[in-house]
Amino acid sequence: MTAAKKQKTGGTDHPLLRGCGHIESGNTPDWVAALRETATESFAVTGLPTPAWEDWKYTALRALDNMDFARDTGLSAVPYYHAPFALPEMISLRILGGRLVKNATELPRGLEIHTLKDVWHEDWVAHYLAVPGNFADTPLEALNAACLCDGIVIRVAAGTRIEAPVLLSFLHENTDAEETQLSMPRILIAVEEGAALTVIEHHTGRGKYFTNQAATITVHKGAKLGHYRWQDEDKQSGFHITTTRLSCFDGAEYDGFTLTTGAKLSRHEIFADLLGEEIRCILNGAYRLGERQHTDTTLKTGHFEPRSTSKQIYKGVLNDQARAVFQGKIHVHRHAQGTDGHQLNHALLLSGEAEIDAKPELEIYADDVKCAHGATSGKLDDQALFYLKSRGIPENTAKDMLIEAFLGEAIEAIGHTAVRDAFLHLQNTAEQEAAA
Amino acid sequence: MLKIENLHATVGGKEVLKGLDLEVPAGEVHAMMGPNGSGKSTLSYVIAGRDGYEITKGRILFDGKDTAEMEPEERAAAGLFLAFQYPVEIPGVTTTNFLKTALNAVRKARGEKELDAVAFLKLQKEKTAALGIDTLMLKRGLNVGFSGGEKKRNEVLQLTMLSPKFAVLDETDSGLDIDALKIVAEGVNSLRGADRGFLVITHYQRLLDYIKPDRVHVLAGGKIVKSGGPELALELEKDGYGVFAEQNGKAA
Repeated sequence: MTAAKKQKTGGTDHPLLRGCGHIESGNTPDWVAALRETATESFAVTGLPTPAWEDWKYTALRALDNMDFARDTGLSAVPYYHAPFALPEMISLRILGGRLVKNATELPRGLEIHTLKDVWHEDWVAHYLAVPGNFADTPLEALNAACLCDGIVIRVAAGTRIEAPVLLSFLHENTDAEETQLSMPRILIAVEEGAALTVIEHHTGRGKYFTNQAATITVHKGAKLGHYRWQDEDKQSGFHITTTRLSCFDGAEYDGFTLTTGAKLSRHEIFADLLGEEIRCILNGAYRLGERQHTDTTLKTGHFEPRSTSKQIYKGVLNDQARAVFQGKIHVHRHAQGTDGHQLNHALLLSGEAEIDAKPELEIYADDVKCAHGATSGKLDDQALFYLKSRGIPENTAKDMLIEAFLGEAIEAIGHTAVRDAFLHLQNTAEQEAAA
Repeated sequence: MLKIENLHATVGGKEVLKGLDLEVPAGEVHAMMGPNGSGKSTLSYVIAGRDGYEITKGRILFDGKDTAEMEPEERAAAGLFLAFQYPVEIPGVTTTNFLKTALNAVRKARGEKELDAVAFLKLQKEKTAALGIDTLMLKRGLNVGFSGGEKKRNEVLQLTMLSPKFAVLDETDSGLDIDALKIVAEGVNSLRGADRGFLVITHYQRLLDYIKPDRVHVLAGGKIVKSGGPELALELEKDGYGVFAEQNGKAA
């Protein structure tokens, strides 16, 4: 056993780095090479985080320690996939193995969508991505950067309001192989001054795989981004981690929502920097998990300038031995007078073995602010359940109605009407599947 | 139709019903009156099968069948209905969705065809209009933000939609003004018939002016202490429950 034991911490031959396989170095811009090197060195030192790390206290990545990895080449066919919904004018794109599958869709004027490799020599791309980051606290982000070889780049030109929503479908198929497939999507979304865009992500697949995504999102002055994600990865053997760095400037609006129903283990870590005044930043979500699924939402919102609003409202339902972690921190810096910050996590525990760990935090250095945070957990309301049953509604249907109503309240807050309706419907579908 | 034999029931370990006997044949309306704390609401919950209301002795037969092992939804499917004294608020579940799910669940359990959206909405519109219910209410969360009177009307709407064989009305008159009371009573009266029975639980005689009972029972101290015709309700109105207070007090 000892001999077979795999290396757990650090080293440049960490199984996850090895799993990334050969990364071509020809014709890559200098910033990419430099970033990979910094990130590799950082990951070699830290390795994967352990529960001894404060931010990882409730989420253990032990399951990844004893796996063999192989890079997802994106070549496996995914024939079964249908977009979960169709919205008017929706631009539907597939991402296989972290690479954008090119198609002939004609894009509206002012909207650019590229595979990273095609544009990484351009200055503006480097401007967003060539940040000499400090990866010490974000090893998963380091891992993504260490393996950087492609990605998805979306930009909307200043003043352009794109009505057509963009759907990005991240697909995985790895039901036969011994190794866990590694996929490292790198995303850049830039909404320039006064522009508007809606992006939907659907992460799904079958089999053994690990998606480790990193996203850089910038919403410029007066711009709007609606960003809605459905994490629907394989419930038995899919792993999903996303690290998002969001920057908003004066008057920007970011409306974010994550629906989590999938993955054996998932974590979404968002660093939201509100760098201007009068920004409205919504980071909401809902989760519904069963069996031994685990999800972790870690939000770090920084208010740097006056009069911005941030909201983080999550609602979740946990059954069986499922577990959810909610860590939220609102940091109000000295200049950020008039900040309005709101953070809540409501969880319903359907079984005695389900668990929620919620840690809302406020750190306030300005004196004129309005901030509230809280966390609740409870059970399904017995009275409500009896009322429904007394009208002839079978217990399971009655429970589903109450759960749907509970999560529906979170989903209702989605700012984009068509997406909101689609997500409400998704939630229902996901429940029916879970019940079947 | 409903037959209760020597019923003893506990709530939270405390015995509330202490040997209650009652028989309501099909086609009849019986009123159950009694002072506060006599066990009226407990009786209604025990009939509906609520968790925590435990039968320790005796039994409740519905259409000759012992209900002891039946879940609340099975009782509803068999044709039992309870109009709640305190209808529950359920945010996020619209009244329409709730009614449709309930009606089709009951129809399915009875081996009837489920109603499609068109047929359902037609029925709902008809029953809603008869009770003077604002259709906007149907789109809101179930009972959320409803006034006391609106909640009670909503209970009667469910009653008329589900048209059960036997209905227990638990203080449906409380919180109603006289006009609402008449409308609610009409709703109930419209369902009266040879093959349907009612147990009307009330503290006051007022409702019985509009829903004429065949028999009136007085519940005190967890058992029926007096039964009679409709005139008994009038006597109680005049004399109060004073004469039964002692029995009730002894029970408590």
